[in-house]
Amino acid sequence: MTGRAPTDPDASLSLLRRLVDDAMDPGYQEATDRGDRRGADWRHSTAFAVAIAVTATLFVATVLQVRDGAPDASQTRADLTDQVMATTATVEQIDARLGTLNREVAQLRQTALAGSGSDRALADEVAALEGEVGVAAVEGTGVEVVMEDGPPATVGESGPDLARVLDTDIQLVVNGLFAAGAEAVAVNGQRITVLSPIRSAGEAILVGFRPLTPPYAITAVGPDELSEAFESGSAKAALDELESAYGIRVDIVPEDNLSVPGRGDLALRYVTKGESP
Amino acid sequence: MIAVLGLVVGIVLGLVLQPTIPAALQPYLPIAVVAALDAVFGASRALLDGIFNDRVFVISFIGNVLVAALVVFLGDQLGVGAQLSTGVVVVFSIRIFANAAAIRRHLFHA
Repeated sequence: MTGRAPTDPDASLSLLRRLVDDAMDPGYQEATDRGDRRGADWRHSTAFAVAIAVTATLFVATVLQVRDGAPDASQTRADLTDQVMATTATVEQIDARLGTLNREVAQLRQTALAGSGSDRALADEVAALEGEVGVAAVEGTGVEVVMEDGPPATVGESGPDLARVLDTDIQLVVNGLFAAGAEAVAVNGQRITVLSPIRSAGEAILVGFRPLTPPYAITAVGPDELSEAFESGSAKAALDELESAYGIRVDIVPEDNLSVPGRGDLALRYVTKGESP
Repeated sequence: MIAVLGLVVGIVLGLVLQPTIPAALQPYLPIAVVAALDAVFGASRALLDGIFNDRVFVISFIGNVLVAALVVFLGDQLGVGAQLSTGVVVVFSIRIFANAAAIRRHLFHA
């Protein structure tokens, strides 16, 4: 055994050396030195056999567990899915609360501005602007455009599926509806404002940073002739092209009574001081 | 020969019962197996040296397994579980190697 003198050049190795030298439990030697010969006959040692049996069982169990490690991976995935669901539910709750609070604010404003004629005019102006900006829900006649992915049409083995509805297709419809005179547009129940991006991230289409799931329903409220104006616009021609070339299904249904929800999470960005009353 | 019987019974039990280990214990199982293997190799060398003692063996077996699992558990709590697992595996593998070499010298005189 190496000494512990600071001059020992071998000092850092003593740990390893001790590990190798004491590989067998020193207890065996000590027991023998004590003359303790009880249980020295391993041939009849039940403890030895049982320990070996336990070790073998644990070994086999571990090997089996490692081999089908796949359940672990799917478990992780299920856990993640649960987390996503839970978080989505929380977001929905918060959204609902936001809606309630927004309605409360609107009500309070209504009562505050119920006084004089000029106040009422201001309230009317606010209400009209809210509809335009996208804060307030809008109801009325309109049109609903439903798009669905066509049958898979991949290019080669792993190429992109051309029959999928893309973010640009959604943009096309939304822009076409606004061009046809729509007052308010929503995609899958999400109001489009001037600040709503429509883009793709990987395979998902995001509207206002929230992923969409097919089918894609684009609802628009506007004047009575909105549907005809849209059908005769350039967007319709492009949609027809998509339908005939890739089998993307597009249904355009005029509706008498549509409701487009408002967007509650618009923040006030600029405020200018009005004329003092 | 009772030991060989134990080995066979253990393997058969593991294959037939396919015991599922609770998820909480799963990280410690491989470490425990390595620790148990170390104890078994140490005992095998001792019995070839003619100094086997089943009391020493049982204590070293249980002690090895428990301490190894405890060290890894503490490491997990401290966030260094993987590093400590590596440390435990390194120590036990060195011992297993050394014992296996001693057993080999005994059996083959080489």
